[in-house]
Amino acid sequence: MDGSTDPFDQLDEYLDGQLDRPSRERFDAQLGTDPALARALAQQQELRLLLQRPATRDAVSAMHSRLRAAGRLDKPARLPGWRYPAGGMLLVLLALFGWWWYQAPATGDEALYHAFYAPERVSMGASDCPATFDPGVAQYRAGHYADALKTLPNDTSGCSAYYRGLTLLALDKADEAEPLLRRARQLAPPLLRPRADWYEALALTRLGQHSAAQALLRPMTSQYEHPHQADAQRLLQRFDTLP
Amino acid sequence: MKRLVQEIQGYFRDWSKASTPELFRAIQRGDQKAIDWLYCHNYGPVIRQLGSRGATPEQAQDVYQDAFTDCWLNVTNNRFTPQENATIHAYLRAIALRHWLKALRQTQPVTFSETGYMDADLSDDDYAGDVFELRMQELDAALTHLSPRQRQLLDLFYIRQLSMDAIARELGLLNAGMAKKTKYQAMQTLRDLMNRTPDDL
Repeated sequence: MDGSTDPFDQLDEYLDGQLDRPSRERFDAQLGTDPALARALAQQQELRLLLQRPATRDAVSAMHSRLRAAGRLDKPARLPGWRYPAGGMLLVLLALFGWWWYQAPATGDEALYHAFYAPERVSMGASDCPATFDPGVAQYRAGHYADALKTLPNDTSGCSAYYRGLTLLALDKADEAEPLLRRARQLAPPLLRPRADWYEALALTRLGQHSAAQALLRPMTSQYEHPHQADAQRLLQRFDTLP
Repeated sequence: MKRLVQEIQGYFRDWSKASTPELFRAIQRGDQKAIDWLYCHNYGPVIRQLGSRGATPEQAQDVYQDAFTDCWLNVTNNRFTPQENATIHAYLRAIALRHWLKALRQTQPVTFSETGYMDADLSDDDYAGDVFELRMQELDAALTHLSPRQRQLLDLFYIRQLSMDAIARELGLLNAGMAKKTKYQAMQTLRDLMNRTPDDL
């Protein structure tokens, strides 16, 4: 400011809000009484707009390019209000379908097998097998099946056939597990034989040998002391529902 | 110092939660974050709105940039005053729609009632109408009557927004008072020329 008090000389300062309070009040007062000043102010405002517009338009265009390059104009548009509940409903339907699919009865050999298979809860020292099996059994109980397979004695005994058969089944190698479990049913200590029955039946199920599996399962259903009697009954029922 | 604090606050500000007066003040002081946010926030809705009224993506983008230019200028020149129930977004979108209707009118007759648009929403925004082009032509003609130094001074002051001291240095004038006097004379010449009828020019 150069100290000028001529209101016609202060148009820009007034429009830019740069006048101090007394000057602005004086300007406002004169604006109300001087039509020429009011007209000059309106013209000044219009001229400023006209002068600034081309440069401002260029600035907007440059801003657009900058924001576009930054990806800020590409973000997906906000969904209309009605689509939020629709999206929510879709998610609920998907969740319900997923739950139904998870709960639905398994079909197919693999699904049927997985519906019934659970690793045997072996307990060390209660199987009448030699202590040399204990480290491998411990690995099996810990779920370290590959390590268990390396650690378990590999001989012709029923204990070896039983534990190695269980371990191979846990590793999803039903084709290798089945002969060993069949052997265990004959040679393993008596306490382990019923369990070998069940796991061989599962291995056969996994391999799609339904008749052989059912032939093994049927006797189990009448053995009340069999640890997997109830499982055998349920698996047989599932076989009956298969196409 | 106050300006620096405002800039730091503006950088971290979530403008989506700002009221229209807050946004208005930020744009007036040239807060680029706020200006960017206003542009991005309204870009998608306006492009979709114009698209639903027959604009191609290129046309819609062009119209939006024109509308944003007018909105920005009107805010910085106090031609838009934020009301309690009128947001700056509604104002910007109304200008965009008016620009598009004007473009449409050049090819086919369209009335406001056909578009469902309320003319009253635009108040006295002449600069989206035909009068703008006419006045721009008049300004271009009037500018030719100024000396190169006067034109350069107006550019430095109104577009590059330099201070009078800086302008005096740039143009080799004696002092800021001299620069101000030159600007006053240039603007007076422009006002006089633009008040004449086309026949006078």
